[in-house]
Amino acid sequence: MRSCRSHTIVLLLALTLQAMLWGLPLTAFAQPNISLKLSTPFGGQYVVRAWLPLKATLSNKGAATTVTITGTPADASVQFTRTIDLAANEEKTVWLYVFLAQPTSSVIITVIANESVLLRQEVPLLLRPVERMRAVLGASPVASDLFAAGSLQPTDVPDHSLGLSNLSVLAFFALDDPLSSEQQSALLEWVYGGGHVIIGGGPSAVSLQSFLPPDLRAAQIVGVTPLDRQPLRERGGAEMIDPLIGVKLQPRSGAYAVGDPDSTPWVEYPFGRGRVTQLAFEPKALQDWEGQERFWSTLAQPVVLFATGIGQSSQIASRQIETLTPVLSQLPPIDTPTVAQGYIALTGYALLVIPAVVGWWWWRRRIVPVMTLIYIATISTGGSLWWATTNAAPTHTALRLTLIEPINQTQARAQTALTVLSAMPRREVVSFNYPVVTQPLPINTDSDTGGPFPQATKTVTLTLTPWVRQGILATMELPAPQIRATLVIDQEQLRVDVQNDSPFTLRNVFVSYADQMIFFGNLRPGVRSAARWPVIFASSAYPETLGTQIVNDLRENGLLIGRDIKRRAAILTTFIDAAIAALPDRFDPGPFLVAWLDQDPTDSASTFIGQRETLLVMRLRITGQGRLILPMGWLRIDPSSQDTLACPNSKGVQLSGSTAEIRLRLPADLVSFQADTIRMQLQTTNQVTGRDLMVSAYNWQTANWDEITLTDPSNFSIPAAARFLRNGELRLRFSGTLDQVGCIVVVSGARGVVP
Amino acid sequence: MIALFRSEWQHLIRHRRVSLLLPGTVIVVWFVGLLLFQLSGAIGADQTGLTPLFNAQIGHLFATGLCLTLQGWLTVVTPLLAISFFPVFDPSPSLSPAHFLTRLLALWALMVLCIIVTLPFFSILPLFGSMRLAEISWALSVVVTTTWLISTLALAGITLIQQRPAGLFVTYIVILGWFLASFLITKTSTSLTIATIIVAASNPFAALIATLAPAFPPAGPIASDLNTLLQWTHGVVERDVPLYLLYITGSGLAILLFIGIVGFVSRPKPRRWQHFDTWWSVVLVVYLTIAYAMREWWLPVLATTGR
Repeated sequence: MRSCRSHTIVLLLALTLQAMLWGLPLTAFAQPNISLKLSTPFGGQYVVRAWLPLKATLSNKGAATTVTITGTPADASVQFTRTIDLAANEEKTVWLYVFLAQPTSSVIITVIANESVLLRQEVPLLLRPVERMRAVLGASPVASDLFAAGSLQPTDVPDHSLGLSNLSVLAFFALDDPLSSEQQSALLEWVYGGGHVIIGGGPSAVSLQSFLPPDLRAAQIVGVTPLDRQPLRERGGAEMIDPLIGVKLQPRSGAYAVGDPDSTPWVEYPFGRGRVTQLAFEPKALQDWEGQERFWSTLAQPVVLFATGIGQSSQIASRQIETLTPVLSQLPPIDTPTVAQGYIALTGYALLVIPAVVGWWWWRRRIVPVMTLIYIATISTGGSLWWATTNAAPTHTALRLTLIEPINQTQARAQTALTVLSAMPRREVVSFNYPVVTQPLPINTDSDTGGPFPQATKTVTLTLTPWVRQGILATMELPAPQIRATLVIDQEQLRVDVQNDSPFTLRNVFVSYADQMIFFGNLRPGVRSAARWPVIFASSAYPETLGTQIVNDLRENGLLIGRDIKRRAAILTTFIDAAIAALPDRFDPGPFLVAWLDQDPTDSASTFIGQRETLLVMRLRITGQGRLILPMGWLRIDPSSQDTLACPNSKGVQLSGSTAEIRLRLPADLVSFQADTIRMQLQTTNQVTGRDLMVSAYNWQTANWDEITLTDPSNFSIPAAARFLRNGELRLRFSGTLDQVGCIVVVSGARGVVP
Repeated sequence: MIALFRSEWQHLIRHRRVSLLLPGTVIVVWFVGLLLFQLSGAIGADQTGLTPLFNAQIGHLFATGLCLTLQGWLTVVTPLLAISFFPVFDPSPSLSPAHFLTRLLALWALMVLCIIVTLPFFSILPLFGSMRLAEISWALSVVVTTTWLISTLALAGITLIQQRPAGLFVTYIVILGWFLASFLITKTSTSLTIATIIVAASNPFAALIATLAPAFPPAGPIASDLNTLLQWTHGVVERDVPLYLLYITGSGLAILLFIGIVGFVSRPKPRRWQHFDTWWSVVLVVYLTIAYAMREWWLPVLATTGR
């Protein structure tokens, strides 16, 4: 008895001791063999809803290890992470990008290894509006803070286009070394998305050009010449007495010279949604000119600028996400599983098997057959579990929208928006074929935006909370799909050539220019298709977006079918509109090629639960020379270049007062078009006659307004039109009682030659 | 003691009530399942296209309905089974603690058997893509705990009162009062305090719902029914508070205390210290020690007042 009690006491003591040990917290101490040096290329200045680039130099003086560097805005929980392998005694410089969705005072950077925080640093920040976020490599040409970040070095240029997203203008006035291939790709992508690059001229023009991506060369340097100073005077608002010597620029196809084409002071080259401004002169040549401050502030303007929820942005990606957001929550429904078969089996079990077994045993032996019941229940449970698991409905549904935009022949940008809704907690591993930079989508609620959001990785793990829509936006660079699409001048008409050399089938290919579009159907790999651009198009009575037009066309032709058609149509419409991202005050009618890919090149997974759409949107170049009849609608109103307001129905402009001016423009590739005749159609809300309305056109040769004689204002021609069309631009002035005219819609076509 | 257990077990499974209980339990669960399918099918015809994961909502409805039915049904029938051990009219004689314990173990085993025969109905829950096996296991654990607790309560009540009809009546009154009190206090509480959480956690139905509630859909036609249910069981307590951890821990302690009290009170006089008391003390200390050592498991439930 005594032995039993002592055993009991020993047992109790042992348990108590163990309990105390369980209660003690475990502490691990990190080995501080990693050092971190941080810098921000733009002096800590940032823009809300843009990415802040941080250059981190990590030095490892210990054994080889893997560290995760994490950036978190102060007062926020979202984490942007990058994992780096560090060999023993190695120093590595990497870029970390932190998306700043809200104004913040600083960013907290931590270095983590083996779940221990090794280092923590705080980087103070300074908020600045995007239109004032200009940076310059080399010396700033002005003493003021026009350029927010000056004297940058080539190593200060981020290696991802997102790192440039808080800049609106980037000037290259001095460059000692060429940019790396990653920096060149980033720069190209940034300009394509709306950035404005200014490249200096003068003696260093040749080396500057050679250090930058070839696609950004706006002009060829063919000599040295005195430059036309008139454009500088106009922008600087001051006389320029001294001659200005610079390089002679010969614009490339799609670029146009400002001022006298033979002595142009700069060439402008639209690239994607952005622009390259190639100067012929050295920036410091203006340093003694009194108009230089005003000149630079006029020249170094953002190309794209639009309001976002909390500020402004100069990169179209923000608008694309904003447009796409409403449909990201429209997840595809999952079919309810068929329960009937299983329940019939359970009915047999409940009404026949169990009562029969229990009843028979009771009748024979007056006892409940316990083991038999356990066997039957276990076998039934196993069978039922197998059947249920085999036929189980998915636990989650997802929407994956991938937009691929080829930037040039070799490089493309892809953005994947992935939204997932799960009925139970789960970890979803999303794989990509290329390294991605991820960020939260605006659909995420506050509690689920913490991330982490990894960078420079092909695998992203999402921790899903039940019934909470969660998503990520992954941006990546990938090789451009080998799809060649061009508009060729052929037999006085435009011909569309599409050649699919990619391994993907292009579904429902459309080529559009403004509200006109051609349907090419499906193009399998290796297939080429060509079509002439129709001369006459029936213009829609209502202002429809390209997405609406395309989706309506698909529906009318029976190419959009299924039980969930309304939701799918809404998603496709919004997706196309987000990809095109037309801005109301910006001239960007295309031409575009819009097509769906049958496979997502960013994703290697063959199975996907939910809806997956991969949209290819590329800009078509117009090539060729010779005579050309441009159909009506190709010379269009440029909404960014007039003071008139858009009409309430977004179709046409509202004229007011006694005089109003509008500008019509050709696509950038036709800036060299020389018009013989311009045909114009005017549609107005109220009926007008030639007496009510006088039309004048700006004569570029005489710099005067020439009145156009017209009998029918709704349909007239301008003969000898070469003097009125310059660099693809036609200026019209309307005089009369314009308040009575109401809304005016101007569409034009032209006949002429492309030299 | 093993021989005693076998005797009690044989006595129990030869009882006509048990032969009716087992098919009855299966048929009740089947019938409720059928009702739930008809209900979800009627709603689903309109909602499948609107709710992305309507299948999962049906799964939650089905799981919740089945678990509540099974627990409710077993709560009602357990005292009826407990009286099978006692003579119909005569006062029951004094009971040795070991005898009481073997009766209790036999009753527990029967309750587990009742749950086992209904498992095929729970095994189709993965079909809906809304339940993990862990959630189903926790729910069934709560059902087992409840039936064991009710078994202990019923057996203890009848043993102490020594009159079958009176014991049964008192047991039902106690159970009803317990459930009503916890439902009403939880429903009418306006502030989240430790007392509110303890009262909510003492409700077997709240504990059962707590295993499933974190994954309840927040919106949708079925979600509204589930949320109404949550208002009754949880009140101001948030749905993701794991009340079942506190419930299981507390139920274990309550069962031990019941066994100890009944084992002491119902034994023949004069009452002396027996081996049973030593072992009971050891088990109680071990239980308390483990409960303390693993306080991180159940104690945070009480800390949720600070949210």
